Amino acid sequence: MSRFFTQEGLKCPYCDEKFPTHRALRVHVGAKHREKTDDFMDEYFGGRWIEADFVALMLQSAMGEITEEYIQRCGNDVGCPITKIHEDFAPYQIAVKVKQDEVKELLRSDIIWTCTSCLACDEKCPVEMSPHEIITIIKNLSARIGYHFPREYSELDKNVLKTGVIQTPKTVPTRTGGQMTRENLGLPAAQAPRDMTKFSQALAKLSETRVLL
Amino acid sequence: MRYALYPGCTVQSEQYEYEMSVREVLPKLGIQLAELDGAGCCGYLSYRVSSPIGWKYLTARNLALAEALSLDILTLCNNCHLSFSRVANDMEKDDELRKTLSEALTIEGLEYNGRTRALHILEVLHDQIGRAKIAEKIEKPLKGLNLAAHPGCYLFRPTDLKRPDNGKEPKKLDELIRTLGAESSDYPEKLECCGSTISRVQEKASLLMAGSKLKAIKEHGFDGLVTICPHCFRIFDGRQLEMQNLFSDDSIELPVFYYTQLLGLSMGIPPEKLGLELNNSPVEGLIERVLKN
Repeated sequence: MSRFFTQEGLKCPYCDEKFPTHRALRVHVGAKHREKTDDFMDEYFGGRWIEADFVALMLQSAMGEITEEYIQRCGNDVGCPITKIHEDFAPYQIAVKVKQDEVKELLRSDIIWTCTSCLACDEKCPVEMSPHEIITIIKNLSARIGYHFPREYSELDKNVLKTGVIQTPKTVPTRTGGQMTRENLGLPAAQAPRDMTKFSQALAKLSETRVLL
Repeated sequence: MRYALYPGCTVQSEQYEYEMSVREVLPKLGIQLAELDGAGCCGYLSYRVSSPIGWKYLTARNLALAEALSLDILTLCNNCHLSFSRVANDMEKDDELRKTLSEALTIEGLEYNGRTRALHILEVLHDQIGRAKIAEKIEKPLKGLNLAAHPGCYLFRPTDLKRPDNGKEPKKLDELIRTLGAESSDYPEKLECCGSTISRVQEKASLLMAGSKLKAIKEHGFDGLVTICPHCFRIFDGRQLEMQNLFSDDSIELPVFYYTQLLGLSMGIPPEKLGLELNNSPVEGLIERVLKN
């Protein structure tokens, strides 16, 4: 890790450019030194991969064997929305990748972020752990170890921490070019937690336990 | 019957037509609505991914607020309803989770003992009020219209939890549409996901999902699409222009309604009280047809 940190901030190991945040550095390496991304993430992540490896082991033991039945039932006819986007994708491949020790590849893939959590695979899955459940665990892992958590989601989290809701009431357009608010439309005040200090304290208390649950 | 109304973040911050139509129609069908003062996000969209325990807390505190009022929650959103069902179920079955969440709840002066549950508006309309009572209130039946029902995934999944509709063959929304005098025939894509959950992070993918479903519905000859979930509505009603561009197909154009808007219209409530000027999709023609009935 040390070669990223300098007195002036974070330094790119490949071109010495400086960055104010970890995120900015990661984005820069991804964009400017694409061929180095894997090396960079391995070194940058260091110990945090241990948790990824641990989760992979847990998943491998929890999901049991991938049988012919699993492949057939979690195949292309599940009605998985990801298949619409990635034509050659079938849900059972998520389980296969975990079995083949390719959790890091799943972390990198946009497949986990294309899953809509529609639960179609849950209903057909013959074993305890469906592709959707595996994907959810890997999304949680990605967010927890700080590997990748989409900016759009972290904005929603920030709004919840600040206001208790994902977004405060907007002004919306009418089809004829008007602009309407809740008040204009005669709707009562939107709901929100009354005491944001106590609300934040409660969430903060839980963040201490979040690695356990 | 009295419920604590929980519109949820998406409805109360932008889907005003849904909330307006709910507040218009339910009292006329004998449902009293109490405000769930102090309620916040249920956590489903982002906290479920970033911090599962944070998500469960966010949902539990809303259940606790309703329990303090001795009322069940009435929710309008499929995601919120799944959150409430899942967390109530997990807290009942998992002692450690219940203890952890209860300790955090005391910071806000709250407690949840499993006495309150959440109902989706579909259940309230179909199972509590009932089709017979709705039919009595119809003044302007939706005669001659064939409307596609889009229930949305969490109305009928997952089947390991009690859901508002049957997991194998959901049909309550279709039945409620037919109660208004319209046709609502089955179609092969009825249970397909709209893709809205990922619209913030995988925009193109979500538009492909919603667009291909709208295209299919149009090809089946339906006059419009009816849903009862704000996330599904948000993409089907609000993003048709982008779908047209993505598919290079101008024909992806279809009126989209919340069920409660059509219910209100057929009960003789004026369109402006149902937020019908806020729908983005081309709904005018269909409204005119109903008003002439």
